[in-house]
Amino acid sequence: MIDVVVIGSGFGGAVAAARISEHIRLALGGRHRVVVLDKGVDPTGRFDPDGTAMPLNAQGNRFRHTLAPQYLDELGEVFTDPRGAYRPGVPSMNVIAGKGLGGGSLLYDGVSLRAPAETFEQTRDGRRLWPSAFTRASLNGAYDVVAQQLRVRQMAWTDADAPHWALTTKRDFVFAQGCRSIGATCVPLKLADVNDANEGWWNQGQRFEGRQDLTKNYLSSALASGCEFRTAHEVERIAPAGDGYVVRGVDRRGGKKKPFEIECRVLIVAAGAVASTGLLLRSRDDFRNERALDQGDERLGQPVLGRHLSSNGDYGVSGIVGPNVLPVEGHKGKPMSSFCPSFWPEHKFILIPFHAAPLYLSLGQISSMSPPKYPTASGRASTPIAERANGKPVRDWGPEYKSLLRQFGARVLTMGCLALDECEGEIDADDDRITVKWRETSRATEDRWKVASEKMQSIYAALGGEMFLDTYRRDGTVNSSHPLGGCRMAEDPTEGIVDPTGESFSNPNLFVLDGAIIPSALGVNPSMTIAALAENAVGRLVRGEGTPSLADRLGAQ
Amino acid sequence: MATIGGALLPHLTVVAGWHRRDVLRVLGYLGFSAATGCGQVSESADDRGQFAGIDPDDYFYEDTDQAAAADRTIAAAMAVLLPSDFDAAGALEVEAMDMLRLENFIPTARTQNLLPPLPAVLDREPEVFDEPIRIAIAATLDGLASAERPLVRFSRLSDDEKGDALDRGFDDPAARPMLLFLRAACFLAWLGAVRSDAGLVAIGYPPFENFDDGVAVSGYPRTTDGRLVDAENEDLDALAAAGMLDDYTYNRAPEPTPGDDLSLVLDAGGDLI
Repeated sequence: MIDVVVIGSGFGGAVAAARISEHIRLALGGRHRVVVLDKGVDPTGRFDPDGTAMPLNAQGNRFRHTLAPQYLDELGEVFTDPRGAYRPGVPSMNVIAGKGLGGGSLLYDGVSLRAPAETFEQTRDGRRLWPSAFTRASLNGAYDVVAQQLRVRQMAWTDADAPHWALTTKRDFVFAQGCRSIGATCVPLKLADVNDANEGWWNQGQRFEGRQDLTKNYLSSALASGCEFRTAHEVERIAPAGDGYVVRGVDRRGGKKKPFEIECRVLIVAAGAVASTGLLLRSRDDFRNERALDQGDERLGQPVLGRHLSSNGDYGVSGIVGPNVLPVEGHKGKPMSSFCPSFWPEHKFILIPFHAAPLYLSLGQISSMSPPKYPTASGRASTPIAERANGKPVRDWGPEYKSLLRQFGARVLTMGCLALDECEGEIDADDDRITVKWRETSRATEDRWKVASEKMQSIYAALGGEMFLDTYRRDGTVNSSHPLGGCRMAEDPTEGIVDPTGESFSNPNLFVLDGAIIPSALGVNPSMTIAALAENAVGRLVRGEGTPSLADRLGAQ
Repeated sequence: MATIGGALLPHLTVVAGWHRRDVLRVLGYLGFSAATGCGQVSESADDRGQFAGIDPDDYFYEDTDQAAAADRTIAAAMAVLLPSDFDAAGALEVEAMDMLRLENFIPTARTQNLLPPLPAVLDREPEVFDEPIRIAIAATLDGLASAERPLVRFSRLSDDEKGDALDRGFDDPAARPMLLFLRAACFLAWLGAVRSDAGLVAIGYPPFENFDDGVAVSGYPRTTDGRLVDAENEDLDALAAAGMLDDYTYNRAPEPTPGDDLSLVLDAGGDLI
């Protein structure tokens, strides 16, 4: 019997593992075991002595900067919709999530914004989505703690204000010029990246010290306090067992598949919004009647589990700027280091320019070369097709295309919006896979994205370029790297899966502490808020504030 | 033996159980369907799908020379799709043929969020699909070549003829999926997947220090010849004035935007209020 098992090690799980392990060491005599299970690898080689992955590099960790497929496969995974993905005219959703010890922090861009006050005040049908305890002000203390742990600081435009390695990029300056042209303003972002060596190649893992992934802070604290880590452990089911829970899955260490089963008293599910919700969906048949995970479904026939998945309003686009604009060099420097907040008051979205990933160019086309199949679309497919000297369309291969790609660094600018949405997504799971769906975009979200798209298009136009057609306008596919919800918290058991401390309404000592419990879009990058909610919940748990204390739950003497 | 490529190409065959439609189906799953240019995914895209009854032992050729011949044909097409030139390697130099292998292609495209969901068998046994796909692509290329010059293989055409054949192939719904896959493999390999950073460097990325270990160069600012600059102690302005600085910042603040007051939007800490 393990005392506390934490499934997942992202911004929720890492905080929970650290704070609970510290409390057990400092206040409970170190007499209880905490075990973190993660289905990915340990990229550092420090946490799981039995973990297996690619060899350590010269810096003593397993990070690479390569785009080699086997490495990319270890860092992230994609959840998608088998029926709708990439089918024109069929609304669908893709979610990319981090994989490995550190969860989303292995892929995130370090953006560390607090959710604005209005986020917490959102209502549906006249009812506040967030439990009344949560406001921006009530979370500011937890945000402060997280910011200190993640070493968050604000970027600067010039080295008169900050060291040269803490500056925004050329991409940001060009974007700011575009914003100014349409009456908006771009400001430096807050990032968790102290010690960054100005990587210049920052978006796939991080072999140096710049990326404040969770192995450098919370997970290290957990390890120092005696927490055990088991990587390559994929949890497939959880179920009640006696006074606690049993966790079943597959241990893939050493390239083998070995079933495992662990019993625990306190179980914290923190595998990320989609994976945590998927795990509960797979396990729901083992939780029946008064212990049913979804009391909304049990009592009213109105399912809550797997519903209300937000994309956080993610909407990324790409395009080119004109030849008379300063070079963008979008692939250099920090992946994100500025944002435009000007449209938040009226439209509830922010715009962020971001690192241009090279492999997107491989399957797409970077300029006006496709037939105008979508006359109402703006962007590459609706613009005139360039012609060669012989009158034939410019090829998207061969020496012409190769030459065009060389302009990539100088002229390609990628950007996107994060916005409030209506949580239109859903999660489903069976034995084989977890899927996400986006059945229909609400009018409110559609209107918000329409304005955001028009603003971004205006920025490209102001910079003498054009915005390309994106996957949402092309075929209705919503792409999100910031999924939230699916297992939302609430004050009423028929409206949520967990209470405001993250504990299951119907299953004592079963917690969900990650993006899955967030009941609305945030409109900003969510890592700070997920971590702050976990700080808040675990703080109350160890203090026994409004909930039985951890010591009581563990029967500590 | 089932014939691939139609009556013009009786010499290009695969073993029983594999037909051109099977290859097109696999390519459809990978996102290269003929009809839409996008994935055509069935609702039963898993082990219960289209491949359940196929014995993997039936996938392989008996005649390895045919496979080698197919690779030569594909190499000729890759050299046209992504040629080498005076300052940058092409598809063959960056070993794009490796990216045609599904065990490389699938994880690369998936982590870039470019793949629809796949039947589980494509993840579990990707290698069994490789040779049939390559044979089918080669047959398609030779079929296109025969329309240029009857009974002449693709690899024997002139470069202009190869280009014209590929043009027609991209316009042909039956050939387009094969060529899109070939094109994608070329540019994925060129842009840093698998074995080379040639394309990355060509478009402006820093080179890898050691590609086998996946170690990219680190740190900015750099001089244009690649030396890492000590930003705190060296004169960046002087280096920039001499045209020697390959920095990542303009070190300039944009001018304020008239009429856009952010004092009610942002707090002193830089967060939205």
